[in-house]
Amino acid sequence: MERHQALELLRARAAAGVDPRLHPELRDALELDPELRAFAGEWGPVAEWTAALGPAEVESRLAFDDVRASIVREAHTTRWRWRWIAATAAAAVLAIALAVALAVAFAGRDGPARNLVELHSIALDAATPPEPELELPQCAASYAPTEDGAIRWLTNVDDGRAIARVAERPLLVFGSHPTCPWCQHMKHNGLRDPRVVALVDGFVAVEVDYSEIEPDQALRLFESGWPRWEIHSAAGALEAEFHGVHEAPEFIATFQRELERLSQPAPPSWESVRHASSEYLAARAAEHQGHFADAERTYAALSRSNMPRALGEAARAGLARIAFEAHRSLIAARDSADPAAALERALSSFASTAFESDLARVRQALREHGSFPELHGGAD
Amino acid sequence: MSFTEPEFRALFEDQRERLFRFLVRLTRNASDADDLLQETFLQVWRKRAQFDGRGALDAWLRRTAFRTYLNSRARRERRAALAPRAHEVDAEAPADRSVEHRDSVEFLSTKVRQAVEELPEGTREAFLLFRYDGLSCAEIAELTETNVKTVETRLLRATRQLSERLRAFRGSAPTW
Repeated sequence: MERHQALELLRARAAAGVDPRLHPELRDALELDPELRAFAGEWGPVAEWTAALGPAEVESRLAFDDVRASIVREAHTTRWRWRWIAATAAAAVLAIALAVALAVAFAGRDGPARNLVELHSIALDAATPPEPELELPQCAASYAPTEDGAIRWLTNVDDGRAIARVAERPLLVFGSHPTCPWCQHMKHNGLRDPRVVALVDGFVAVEVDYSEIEPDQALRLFESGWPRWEIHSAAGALEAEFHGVHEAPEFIATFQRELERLSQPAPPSWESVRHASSEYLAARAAEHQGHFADAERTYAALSRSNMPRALGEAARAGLARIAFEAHRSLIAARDSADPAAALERALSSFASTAFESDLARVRQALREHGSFPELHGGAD
Repeated sequence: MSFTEPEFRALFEDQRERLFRFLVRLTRNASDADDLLQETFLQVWRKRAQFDGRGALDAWLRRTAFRTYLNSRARRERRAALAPRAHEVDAEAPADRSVEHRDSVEFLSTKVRQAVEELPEGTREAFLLFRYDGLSCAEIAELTETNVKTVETRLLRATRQLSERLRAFRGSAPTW
């Protein structure tokens, strides 16, 4: 018998109060190994002495919310660390570019003055088409799934999908028909239950009226059962579908299960979703109207806060579109029959934006040299 | 295998007290144990994709908690190497206790605790894992990243040392 096996057997026998010498193999091992014999004699008292040394009277004060908070904090720190690295790298590249530009400028001091403008903000190689804007309905600025103890249904599934993505919450679709008695029963009973209303606050809720869709499609849905329910993830995937009348307790269980399954950790509050949506819609309207300074300011604020994340991304795409538009205006002015007039229009559109100073320096060079300057550098 | 947040919460509620007791014994301090417990669950969340579900979940959690404790111990030792250790002298119990006091449960339990705490660190850990967590020598060797022979030696040494230290109090085992 190996010594470690003997140690474990001695521990077990002491706990059970059984004489170890009754075990034949153990008896042999004890005879051969004096250290093991000493252990056999000492373990019982030591185990007795240390019996209650364990901290049975102390309880942990750690709550799950503490752990979750540290997970969220860590994710946030990691995100910012990567941003900091990216920003530092960008700054280094910019510093090198500046140094090269200065070297070029000083090298040419003795020759004739060159008609050259170094761009700082407008990207010369901005050939990538900007991302399309996020389609967000106007109602997102005031949307709440419940109000005054009742469910506030949206009526358009596409609107619901867009809001669900921004709010990082699952989408609940309730398909009903005005002539369907079960649908009306649910509307007047289960869907008014305060517990159901409280759970729906975790979803984006949409009601589809089957009397307003194509009759063939309504008939197909009728065959599968009315009222019909669908639950989609915030990303838009169909996760569950069921039909028929559900009374409140059964309904609550289904909702609760799906909500827990599809919930994302720490989604933004409804208040912050409404506020950010309102800001995004205003920025988008300003962009459409060519008020780029207002759009740029609001997009930049949304991008910095990055809450909700989908609007942070949409805002960054908005900034990229404005940058692309600035590039396009500058190139259009260069290729125009009347560059001075085209530049004036561009300067008017991009006044108070990050691109104004580049456009102003191009205009200055055009005035000084009487020809459109050679363009260098530029942000990427 | 991975956890969703509700599953992770259930795991936390289920295992919190067990891992806490495990860590309190090692750290000797409830506050430090709670800190390490939080770090342990953070590690579990980070590495949730690595748990393939083949081994026992209990063993995986214990291993994670023990590694967290080892890291914390290494940090503490590095700090201690740079700082004076005067506080450790203060922790000693007064030597001239009266006979009545010697018989008190509080005094005896303190002596037992001191005797365990004065074991060399690796020996103390092996003893705690063997005595309270019911681990086999092979499991202790894997957890402490050593071999079975070393664990055997540590257990024999711990038992001998504790027996010698507590021999004077035999017959008056504390009944707490």
